[in-house]
Amino acid sequence: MSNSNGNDLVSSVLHEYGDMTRAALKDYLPSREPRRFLYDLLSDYPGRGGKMMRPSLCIAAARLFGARSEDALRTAVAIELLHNALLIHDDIEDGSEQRRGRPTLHLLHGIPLALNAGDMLTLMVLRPLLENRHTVGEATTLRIIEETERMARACAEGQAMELGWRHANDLQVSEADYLEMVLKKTCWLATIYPLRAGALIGSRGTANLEPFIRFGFFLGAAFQIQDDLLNLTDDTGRYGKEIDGDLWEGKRTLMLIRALQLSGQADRERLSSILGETREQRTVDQVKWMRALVEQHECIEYARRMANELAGAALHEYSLLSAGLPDSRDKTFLEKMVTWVIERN
Amino acid sequence: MDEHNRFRRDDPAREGPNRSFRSFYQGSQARNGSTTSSTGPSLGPDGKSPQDAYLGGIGLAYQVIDQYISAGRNAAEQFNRQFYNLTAGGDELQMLIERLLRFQSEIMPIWLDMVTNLVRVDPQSMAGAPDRYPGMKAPDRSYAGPGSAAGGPAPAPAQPATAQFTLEISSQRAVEVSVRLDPGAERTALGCAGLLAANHPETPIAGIGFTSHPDGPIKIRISIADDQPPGIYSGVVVERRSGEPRGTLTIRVSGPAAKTSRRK
Repeated sequence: MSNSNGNDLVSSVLHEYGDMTRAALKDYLPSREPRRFLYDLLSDYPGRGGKMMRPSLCIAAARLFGARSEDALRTAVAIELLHNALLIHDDIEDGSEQRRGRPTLHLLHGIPLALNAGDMLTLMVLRPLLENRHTVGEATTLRIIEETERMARACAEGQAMELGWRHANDLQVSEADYLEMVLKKTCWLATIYPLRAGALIGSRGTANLEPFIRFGFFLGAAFQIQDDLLNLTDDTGRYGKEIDGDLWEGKRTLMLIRALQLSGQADRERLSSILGETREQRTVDQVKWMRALVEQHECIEYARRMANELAGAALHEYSLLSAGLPDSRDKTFLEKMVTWVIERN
Repeated sequence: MDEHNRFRRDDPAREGPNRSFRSFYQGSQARNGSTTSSTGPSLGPDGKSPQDAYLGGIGLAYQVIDQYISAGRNAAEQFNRQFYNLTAGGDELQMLIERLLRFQSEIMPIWLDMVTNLVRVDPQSMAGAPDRYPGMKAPDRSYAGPGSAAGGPAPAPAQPATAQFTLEISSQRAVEVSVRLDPGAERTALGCAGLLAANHPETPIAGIGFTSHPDGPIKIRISIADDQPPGIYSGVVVERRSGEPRGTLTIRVSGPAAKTSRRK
């Protein structure tokens, strides 16, 4: 199957499973009062679209082991709810201005209301997870809740790592630190947890889940680096976040870490000074200079190569975990996701 | 362009097998997290060639995930050790009980399923299950095949997996009898030359008789001498006329033999 066909399959499956999840998700979003200050805010980010990668991974992993899509639907809804909840909080913590092509929730409604909406969305995850017992039984339901707790802990730890680096203006962050942060902050919610929860549902708790940590890590890390690349390079207008937003926010991306490693003393001191300021204090010229530094040291090419090779490792890990499973559309979809995450725009 | 005019590239020279894909990604120098770049003309400002940087990156990624998984395993082991420390207090005991109950609820259906499958798979072994007659003269007992007993499994749809038989045992000793007869054996005249034990080949059990009825179960009469040495005696049940084997018979004789001289 060519890459074009592979991406067609990925788009088709993402569309199908995404629509299923959105339809089911509506049942969990209340339409009663208080709408203006709460429930309308809850449905804002989910209503803006999105790739629906996380719920699709969950449903595909469940089907990979023989389950029906419906068996994984509630977990898929929970994943999408939690993803949107964390986006609200992340946008506040990062001071982001755009999300999916529109102003972030806290810019529209203020931080207190956005925070409250994020809290509510987080708690609403419990309902579909508890209702899982009607379809997958109590034992598997408990296992999924355990996985959710583990994922939430990893996410918070990863977010704390990244925020801490910025808070302390840490210039000693290594690539290993970055990968660990990505593993916790991005991979657990974006790939590892959906895959493991899906495998639990499909196998009724009998599947070995450890290979999904490896596969999910390489897939999620390639996804995150591609996301960071798009933040610097997107010229299609489809990215949905502000271009160079990571530089404005002083995020320790792979490119910035690489630039710090390769810079001479003078550039390093200037970079340290700029990163030590708040987002509001940074100027357009400073961000342009950082951007030039990243390009000067070919950090974008380095990161792109790294993303490609992480994707190669993901394919290898996937070939190991899927070796004994029967061929199916979902098996091919999960394989093609690897290419998709580094080719998307 | 037809097949003959197509340009073809030469096959690449084979340098050697790559049997470990993961090692390929990790790189030979990257397992301890450090990469030592080979000196060459294409070194970057950090002293690494692009190839070294790539190997280091993937090696680093494998190192990160391996360490993470290892740390997770250690944490789980530590958690489990604390978990089973019952001296800690009532909360741990309560958690242990809950875990045992959960384990039981998960394992019991699997266990029952397994037992059911075992019983369903080998009905023949049910028919030949050892009969225990610790008494002197056991009453006749008919085994009418699977499905005939009240509350037993559903009747077999076709021919029973074993011939029907009854046992008549005459013995002062405790014995266990195991019989397997081919289906249809009740329509033939059966015989047994005697049952031999590996540790007492000189004292076979010879008192075996068969009475066949085309319309009823085979009657098997077994007579054990009082001074029969303990042991496991086995032999083949044959069709008298042709000598063809029709089943097997095994008798386990327990307890000490009586102090009487054996008949010659």
